[in-house]
Amino acid sequence: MPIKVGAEQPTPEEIYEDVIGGDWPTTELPDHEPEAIVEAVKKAGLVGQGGAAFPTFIKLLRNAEKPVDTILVNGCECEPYLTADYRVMLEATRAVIAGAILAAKAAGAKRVVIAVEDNKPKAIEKLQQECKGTIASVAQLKTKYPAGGEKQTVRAALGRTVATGGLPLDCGVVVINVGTATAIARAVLRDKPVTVSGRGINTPKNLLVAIGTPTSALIAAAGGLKDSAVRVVSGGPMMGFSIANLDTPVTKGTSGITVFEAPDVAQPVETPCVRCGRCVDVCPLNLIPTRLGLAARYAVWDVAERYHMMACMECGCCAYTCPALWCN
Amino acid sequence: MSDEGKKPQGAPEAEPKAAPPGDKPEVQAAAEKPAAAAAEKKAPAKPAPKKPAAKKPVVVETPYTLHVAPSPHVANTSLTTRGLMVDVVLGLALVVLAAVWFFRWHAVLVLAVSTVSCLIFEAIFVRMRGRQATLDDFSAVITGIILGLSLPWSTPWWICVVAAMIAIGLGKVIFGSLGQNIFNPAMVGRAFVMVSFSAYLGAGAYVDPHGAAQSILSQATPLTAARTAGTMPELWFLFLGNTNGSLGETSALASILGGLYLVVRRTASWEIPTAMVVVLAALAGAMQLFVGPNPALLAMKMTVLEHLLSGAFLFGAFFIATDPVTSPLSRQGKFYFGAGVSFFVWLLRTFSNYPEGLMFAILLMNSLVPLINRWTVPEPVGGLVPKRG
Repeated sequence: MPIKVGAEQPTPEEIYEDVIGGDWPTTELPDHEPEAIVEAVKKAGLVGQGGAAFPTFIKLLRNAEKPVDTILVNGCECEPYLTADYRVMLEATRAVIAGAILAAKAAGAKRVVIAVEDNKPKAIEKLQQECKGTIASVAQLKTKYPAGGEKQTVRAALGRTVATGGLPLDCGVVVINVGTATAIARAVLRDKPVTVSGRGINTPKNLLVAIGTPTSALIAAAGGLKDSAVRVVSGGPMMGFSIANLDTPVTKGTSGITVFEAPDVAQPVETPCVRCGRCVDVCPLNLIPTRLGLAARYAVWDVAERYHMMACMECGCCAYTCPALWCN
Repeated sequence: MSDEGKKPQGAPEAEPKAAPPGDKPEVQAAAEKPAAAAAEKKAPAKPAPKKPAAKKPVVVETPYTLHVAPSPHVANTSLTTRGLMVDVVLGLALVVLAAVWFFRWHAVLVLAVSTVSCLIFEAIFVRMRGRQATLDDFSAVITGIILGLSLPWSTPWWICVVAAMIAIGLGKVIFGSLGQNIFNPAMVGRAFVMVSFSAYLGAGAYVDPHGAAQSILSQATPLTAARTAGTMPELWFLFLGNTNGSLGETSALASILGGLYLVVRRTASWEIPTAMVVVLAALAGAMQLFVGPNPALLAMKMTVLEHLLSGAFLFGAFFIATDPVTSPLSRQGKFYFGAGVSFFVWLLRTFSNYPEGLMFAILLMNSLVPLINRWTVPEPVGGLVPKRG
């Protein structure tokens, strides 16, 4: 049975009503062919909503050499400050599960695991309720940045390790964000949820907005900037990029807008590294960030390579924790 | 960084009413709003019914200066290098107290002279390099305290000054100051004066012939006694610290408590002291079990606990070997480093002419740290980066 990919576009309000309150079957799903699901996802232009914007349909293509047994739905917020995934799990629970099960069908997976951090008990409870009788289950993870990083989620939820330079596919897993799951369920993506947050915003909130919406419109919808706001970041505080122009639009990969006040982003003066090893302790990929930092600063790329720079996911934990700074 | 170039020049910014006062950040980019009209039309679509009477019109507007900087945008500012250093000073405080308790004003004098000279030489030498002296990072204080604690109680004041000069000058600043030195500065200073002024600092420096017989100052240091007479004080004395020795090394208890504080605060690594204790215990135990006493080498008689509790071993394990600047970066490397230090401690204590080998063991292993770092680059989670092409 083919899936229809949106001919006429619903309004944002209709989509919102549909995602939140619509009827999403989780047990007796219509009998789609796997190829049909992949095709629908491809036509809808879905990309991963966790931030990297990897085309979703590629993940769902079956590959005889690399069979997939698990769909891991990543409900771990990718960064602090952001709560978009949380709201989706809480309000569109059934849509998330339905989408994940569809993805499992497409990829030929036997089970769905929804990974949620333990600081979201409400979402866990609701998901567990709705998962009953389906192939989906909930995995409760410790709240810890960067638990939302794909490799970290796979490791924490399933105990499998994704090879450097490889994909979760290599160990039989396909990871999709909860928002992506919802979008798969709808099979037509024109909208996505975005968190507008941070201390610099008047009324932080989660919004379901159209791709292409300018940042200024999002900020306006969240009550506008405070006078004290100094930095607007597309994404979260750890990996987001600061934007210079509020006309910058929401893209498929935008997970939030974070607005900072001056004290939040005070730039401390750098002091000499004493190799205390705090960065080594926090690196989720087991790298030696202090060496990578020096190698990059002096452009010594062979040293950078020897210390596995290309394995870095740029989560920012090392820079966050570094004590070699001088705060005035 | 500014986008003026890209903007159509059509809309002059004539509406300054809701313009938030631009603060004056250093890195900035003007984000003005020629296309604001379009955005404003869209904006009210959703929030309009909710926010009719906000304090000011909810319009995101006009020349607004925004910071632009790379991520991460937040940092944990509660922990600074100075914080780490102060932690070490706190950990050392207990050892200093023990030293003052056992050696009275001798300890006060040596510690004061070496600490103050370290600060003075740091200021002088750093200024000679044309840099701003950073005495308030407390690293020179730590060097001074550790140097003082590693000297005998009878050290003349001018030897303390020379040791401090060498420690800061040749041990640290000549390499490029904080974070750049290869060898532990305090140990460099101590090694220099130990070798240069051996008449003042040898075994004789510890024993006070005029001291009362029951005073610890009248006894030989435990390690000297072990190699000359094959005897050792009771373990209990070694543990509490009422034995003779360098100022900071006598009390195992003070070193353990202060060291545990550092380890719990993660200011000192747990890997290095652990490896050191395990390896020294293993070597000493193996000697006891398989070789037994040898009349030519009286030091071989020392038991595992005597090895661990005597000399500067525990003080060094917690406070000197754990110096992050001069120890390896990875966990594996730290284990190797600690094991190496203990191996040389044991080797020098048993076979060399010196009763204690900690200082040389640490300096020796310091020189191997770059090599250890190179050998122990940890494998990233998920394995090595695949080679391209």
